[in-house]
Amino acid sequence: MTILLLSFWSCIILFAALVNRKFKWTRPNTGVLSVFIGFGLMAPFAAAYFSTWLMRETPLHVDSPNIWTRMLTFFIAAGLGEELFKLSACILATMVLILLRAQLRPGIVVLGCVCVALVFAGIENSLGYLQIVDDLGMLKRSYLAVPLHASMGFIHGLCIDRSLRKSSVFPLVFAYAATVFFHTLYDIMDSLLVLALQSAGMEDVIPQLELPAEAVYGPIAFPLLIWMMWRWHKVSEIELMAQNQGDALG
Amino acid sequence: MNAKQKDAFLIRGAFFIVSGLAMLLIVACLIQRYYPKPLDDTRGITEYVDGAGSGSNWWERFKKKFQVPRIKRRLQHDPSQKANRGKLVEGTGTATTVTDRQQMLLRQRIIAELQLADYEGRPLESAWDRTQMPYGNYPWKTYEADRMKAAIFAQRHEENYNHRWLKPFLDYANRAAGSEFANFEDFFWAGRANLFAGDLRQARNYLHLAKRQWPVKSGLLYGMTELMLALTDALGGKTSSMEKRIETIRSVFPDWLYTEIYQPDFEYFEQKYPNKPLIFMLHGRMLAMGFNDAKAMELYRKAFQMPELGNDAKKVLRDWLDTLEEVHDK
Repeated sequence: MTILLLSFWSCIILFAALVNRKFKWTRPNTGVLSVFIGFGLMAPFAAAYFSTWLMRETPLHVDSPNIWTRMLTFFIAAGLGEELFKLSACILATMVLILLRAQLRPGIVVLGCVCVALVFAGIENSLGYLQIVDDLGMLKRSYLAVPLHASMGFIHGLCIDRSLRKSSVFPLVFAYAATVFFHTLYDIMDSLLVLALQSAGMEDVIPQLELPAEAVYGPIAFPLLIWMMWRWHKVSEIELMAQNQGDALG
Repeated sequence: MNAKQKDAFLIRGAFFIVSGLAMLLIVACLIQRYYPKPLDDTRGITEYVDGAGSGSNWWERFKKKFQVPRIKRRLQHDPSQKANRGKLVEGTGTATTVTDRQQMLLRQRIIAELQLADYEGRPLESAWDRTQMPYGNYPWKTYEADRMKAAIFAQRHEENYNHRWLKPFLDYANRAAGSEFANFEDFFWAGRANLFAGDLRQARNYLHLAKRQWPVKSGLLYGMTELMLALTDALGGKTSSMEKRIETIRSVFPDWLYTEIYQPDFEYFEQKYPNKPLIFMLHGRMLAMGFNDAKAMELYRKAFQMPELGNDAKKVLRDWLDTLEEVHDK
């Protein structure tokens, strides 16, 4: 229970915040969300398998002493790998729901994709970081990495919704490219900081520099979280319902 | 959205997933083709230990959680082993902690067969044909074989530091340490083998890994690990790191006073690297801690005369030498 609480508390709070804001008079379709969560449960294992393969079979490693190797590893494992598996889980869930002829309201796809991301982050926390990170580290992950994953899921959701409406594959490609960019940028923030200090000729400062995690990763995670909440707040439930009805009538 | 749009999404979604996975596969193939892994680095240890260490390779740790129960299950359900079935200790973490008497006897039998094969000049594999292993799991059996072979060749190598035994010791120790079942002892032996083979980087990596995974941070072998790390520092010319290790070595090495334990190692390295002053310094310091001041001063003076001695090391050595000389003058 403690493990679940430590790993998932911020996921639950974020989910509750999103649902409370958008679903005041109705409730999200639990069946639809369950399908998204189900696919979300599979995504971290596929991503972990790929990362493990990459770090075992190639010289790439996230703890590599070479800063460029480290950055490349984050780009491939966390960027290309994790985001592809998360987006694929979201797309597969949407496809299954289409085949099951479920009612796909615009908000529910976005919320479902955020659910995939939150489940992904929670499992990553519990299986990946709980053993190697102390309680304070877990707390920091909960308000840095989890919102980042949620906002990545939000981008996926928006673009899947756009792809559904426009009958185009480009929103999906855009979602993938954008999330790969943001996720990689988040993970390599510390390396970029070191590179910047090195280029400024301040190598001596690096060993003494003990910046808190939020100062390093916060500039990426927090603006994305604020953007997500702002976008989610912008359209009210009534408007969404009207939009949905309009589509159905149209 | 209408049915047409939904149908279009099915095709486009499937197309995206397939192309995405294909892209990932191509990226993986390209990395393996143009950025190959060093052959001796079977577990990514070089990259793993050189960095911060903890790693986010959580799939590996997740898998390991299931390894012990899986091996235990196999042991229990292997029909050929009903007579001499072993028992794994609950909750001890690794599958190597077999305490059942029959299992221990079997291990001794295997070691005896290996020694016999070695003595008779037969290939070591023949020892395995003559011994029935209780394990049905091929990777586990291979690991056990490598581990025991490494132990035998380590013993042979320690007898006279003959190079004839170093090569097989190195090969089997590296293989055992590269196995998914490897534990701190395997890393220790691999570190030792690599140190004697002159691969300092690999030796340091294995020794760091052994140190990190060692369950009780004190004892003869743990102390030897620390001492070997100090030796890698001495061979690599890292004076400050070596100095720090010497200061802490007594707290983790209860047998530091018994210099005969590590004396042969030092003598071997002094002979092999006669122009590395830090080895003489380290040896001298250990002897000085063991109250053998005369020999320690002799080694210090020898190191002092070497042109390879750096300025920072010279300063440290001067302090050590002065302290000893002061004590003797009094």
